[in-house]
Amino acid sequence: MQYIRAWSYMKSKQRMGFEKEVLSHLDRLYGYSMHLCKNAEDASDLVQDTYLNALKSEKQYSPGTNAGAWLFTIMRNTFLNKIRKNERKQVGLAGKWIEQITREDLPELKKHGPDPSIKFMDNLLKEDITRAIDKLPEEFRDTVVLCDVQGFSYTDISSILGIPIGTVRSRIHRGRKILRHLLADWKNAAKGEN
Amino acid sequence: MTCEDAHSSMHDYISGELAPEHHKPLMDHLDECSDCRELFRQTKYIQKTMRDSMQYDAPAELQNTIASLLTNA
Repeated sequence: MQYIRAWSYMKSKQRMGFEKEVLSHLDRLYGYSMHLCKNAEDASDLVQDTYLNALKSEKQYSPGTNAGAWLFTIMRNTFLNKIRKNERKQVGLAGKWIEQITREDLPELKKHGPDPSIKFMDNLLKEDITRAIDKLPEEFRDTVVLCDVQGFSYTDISSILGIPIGTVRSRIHRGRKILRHLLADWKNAAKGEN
Repeated sequence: MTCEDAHSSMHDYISGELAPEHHKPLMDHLDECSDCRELFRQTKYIQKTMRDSMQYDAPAELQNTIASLLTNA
């Protein structure tokens, strides 16, 4: 009897630890969900589904390991499953991501050093950033957001996206270059209009 | 350090992934090269603006829903 009581106590303590740990990532998950879904209602739904799926997979989580990366992996998989299951109801921009910058443009971006035509931008607006991120091809967008907004390490991003660390690294480098050029082009164009 | 090496290192530095022993060579190069210094400043600035722009607090209603979901599981 005493053993059972001790076991229940340990289990409830472990359970509380789990709840506390996964709850501490709620704001970050909501932020990532907003990035994926582009609207508050779908973002909240995705967060709820993510926690439900996390509870179903609770046994796979080892206390002390990186709960953030684990939850973000679940969120991403949940999001992708949603898209696959319901192609007619497009969630945010997921079904129509615009890839205006093609791979053919990338060699141009590999030039070394700041482009002398870029007179860099101060006072970037939130809208500029959001627009530029939406213009990034998907593979660059996710890696850059997970690194620069969510602060994950290359190792964690590799685990969340299921890609090698070298690919994470190169996508972050290239994604940032594309962002910088997009923002600079817009700023320079806006200056020309004035 | 060449500018090409510096570009690669600065991205890793900004990501928090550059090994400490490579910090000094990068900083030395940035001290000497104004082009790379400007590129570094731009990249850091975009990162900060992006981070500031995309931070959200979960709505109170969602916080309550998730808390109760966890408690009742």
